[in-house]
Amino acid sequence: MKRQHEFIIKRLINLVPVILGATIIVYFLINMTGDPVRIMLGPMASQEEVMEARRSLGLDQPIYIRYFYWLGDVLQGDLGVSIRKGKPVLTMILERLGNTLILTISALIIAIGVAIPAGVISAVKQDTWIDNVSRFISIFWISMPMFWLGLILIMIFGVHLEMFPVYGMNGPLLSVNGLRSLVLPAVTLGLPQVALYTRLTRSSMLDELREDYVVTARGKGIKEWTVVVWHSLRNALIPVITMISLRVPWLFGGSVLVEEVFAWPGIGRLLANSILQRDYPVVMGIVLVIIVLVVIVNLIADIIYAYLDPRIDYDS
Amino acid sequence: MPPGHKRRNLLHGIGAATAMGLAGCLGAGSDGSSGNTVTDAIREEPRNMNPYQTTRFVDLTALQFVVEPLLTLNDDFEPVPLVADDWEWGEEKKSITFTLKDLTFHDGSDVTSEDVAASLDRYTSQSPLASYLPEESGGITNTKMPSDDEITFEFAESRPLALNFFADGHTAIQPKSLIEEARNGNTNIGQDGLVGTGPYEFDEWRSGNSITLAKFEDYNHGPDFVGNDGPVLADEYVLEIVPEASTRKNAVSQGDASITFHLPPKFVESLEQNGGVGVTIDPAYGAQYMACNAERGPTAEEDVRVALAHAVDKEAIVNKAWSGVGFPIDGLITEATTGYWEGVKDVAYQNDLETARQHLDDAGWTNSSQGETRTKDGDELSLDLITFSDLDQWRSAGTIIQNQLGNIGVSVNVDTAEVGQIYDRGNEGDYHLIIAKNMWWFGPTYLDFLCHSRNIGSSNYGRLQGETAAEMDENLETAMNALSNEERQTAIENVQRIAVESAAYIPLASRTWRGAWNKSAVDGVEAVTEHPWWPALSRALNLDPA
Repeated sequence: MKRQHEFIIKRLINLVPVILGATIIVYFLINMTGDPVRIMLGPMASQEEVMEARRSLGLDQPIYIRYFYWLGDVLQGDLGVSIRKGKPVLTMILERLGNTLILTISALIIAIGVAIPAGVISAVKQDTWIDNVSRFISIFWISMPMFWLGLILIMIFGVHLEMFPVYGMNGPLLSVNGLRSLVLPAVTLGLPQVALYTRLTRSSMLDELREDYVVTARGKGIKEWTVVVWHSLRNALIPVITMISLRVPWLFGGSVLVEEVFAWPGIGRLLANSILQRDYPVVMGIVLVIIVLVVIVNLIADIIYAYLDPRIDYDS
Repeated sequence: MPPGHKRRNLLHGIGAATAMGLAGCLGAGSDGSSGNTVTDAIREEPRNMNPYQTTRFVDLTALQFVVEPLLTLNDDFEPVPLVADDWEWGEEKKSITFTLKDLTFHDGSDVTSEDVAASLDRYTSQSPLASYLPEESGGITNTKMPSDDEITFEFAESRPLALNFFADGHTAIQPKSLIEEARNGNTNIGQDGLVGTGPYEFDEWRSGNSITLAKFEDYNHGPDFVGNDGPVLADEYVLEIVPEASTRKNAVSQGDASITFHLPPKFVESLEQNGGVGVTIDPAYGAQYMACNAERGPTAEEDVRVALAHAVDKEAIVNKAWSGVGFPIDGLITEATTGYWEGVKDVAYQNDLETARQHLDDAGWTNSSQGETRTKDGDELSLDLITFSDLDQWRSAGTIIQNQLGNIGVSVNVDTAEVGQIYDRGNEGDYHLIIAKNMWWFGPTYLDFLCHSRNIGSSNYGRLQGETAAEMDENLETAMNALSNEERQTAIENVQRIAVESAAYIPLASRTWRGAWNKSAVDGVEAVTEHPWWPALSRALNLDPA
């Protein structure tokens, strides 16, 4: 347990250079795209108004000075104020972060809930029609652009079958309307993951099922279900968990598209709009939050490894 | 508890939750809306509903459901009373006195001359669009309030067009107390709240999702041209933010949204075939035009610009870039803009490739065969065209014009970019051609923004030089400031003529209003479209949940 604590603390310390590096890169890249004042004031503002706005926003300072000011504020818990809306960035993020987390976690639950059983069945029934169908469906989902998939689901389940709302978040999550609003976006975000995890679970399970300990377990007369689920799957899940943790940033990236298609009020859309509007404080705030979330997810994955396989040593 | 049991319990939990979810999903009706509500799917979230700060059309439309200026313009573009009851000009239009209606704000307080003074002060000191009424441009120098319902504005110079600005939504009247709070930093107008006299009260803004407006029961001063003096017919008007165009289309088809006024041209045809959906299209104010940089390279030569104007086929742009849902235009402002001059049709350059080629020959740009890029003194006639990457109609128009100019031996490099980059390059003059977009309802101001030489480096992309620019400036100043209506009208016509004849601005297509509504969800759209602008006030008062 002590080693585990030390490991977590080490990882949290490692977080500092990661976050610093990422924020420096993003800050400089986003500032290289131009200044936000012209977009803010519109093409009809005079040059004097533009200059005045630049001064008032501190945009007349060199970029590295602005970065240090920003960093100093962040260290005091202040993510700044949106250039576009004049609202605190933290408030804007908190208003929407929950919605994105709901969406991504639901997508992950769908992906894991479908992919792992499908992968296991596919491996156990290797080269049967079940395996072939499962592999075909996996390739089908993984090849389908998410944007298009979302539109197709809207057409089928929203417009024609009228089972789910076409867009938006139509109520609190724990209400019928809230759940109905969540289904299509979560499925759209989750299905490409299903394909990936199914294939990975299948190949990993096939490896495990060929291991000596499985042969021994079967030889001892242990029930096949126990051999597959309790002995093999546990070990087969390690690479799957690695992949899941690595795909979390992708989920946030994918949520930008899904939130756009389904008008889901999350931080993905806020990020995309803020980039287009050059609302740097908001972009930086969201990037910071996403980096922290991704690092935390990776940390959790490391901890789960040791739970699944006690041979994994935190020192190594 | 053994690990297997923990896992089994977890699986049971997930299964139960999934079952509950599915039961919820399948057990409910398809329509998430309820009650007497109009749901309007809009393409983007307003960034700021503060009338004194915003510069964007989508923001202005949304806030005009809630706040109102002193006047409004009827369907003949004439100022009519809204918050004000009447007005009287002073000598040489150097002052104006308004008498106010007996109205209350949404918070229950009375509208007084002090509120009007505070609102106009906030507008003139803050709005990037306040070009005519601030003191430094000859506007308000003094405000007098002889009584609670009377206010006089004194101007530094004659302000003959002031009524049009008092009818602008950016000059909306809000309570003085709210403005004072904003000034002291205690509230953020347009974010924390918005208080006005409009037909709807600001209720809730769910970030990224929707803005809900609630019926203002006491509203009863709708102008005659709207047809309903109030109150509104719906209990709620919800602006739902639906950025993806095909989702908006599906939302209206399916009835999740009652109406959208943000219908992309490419979906018009398919929706027109849907019997349950109504579609309507009208020319809007604001134009799609191509500006030729008269300050740089080959486009500094008038013959080259005129050749380009003759080579452009506007019908093809309307048919292809606008999917046939558009109107070719001859002038820089459209018939839905105040000050439009019909005579511009007679001076506009028409599509004629032979004449275009002749102009280039005359300017010394020649080639040996029609498909070849022309040259002069060893330099190729190669032009950089920039336009917006995020707007189909602009991006497509760029490609179409590239092909059309290729027919006369002009090579065009089309460079599309996001709006900020286009503004940056436009301001720096880093282009030969730019397909631009602007919207403004008031012709003189709009043309001043687009064509006055003082706006080179900001909104003037034609960048006319020398005598032509001086003539343009003189006419613009007359159009804005002359006391005589006839003089102003002649000047505004001259401006439109110079813009077209100089070929620094090549008008392409009118921007369009495009609306689609679910017939079983809402009525009253025809009344809205009677006014050339489909104004927010008319949408608020006429749209009726079916």
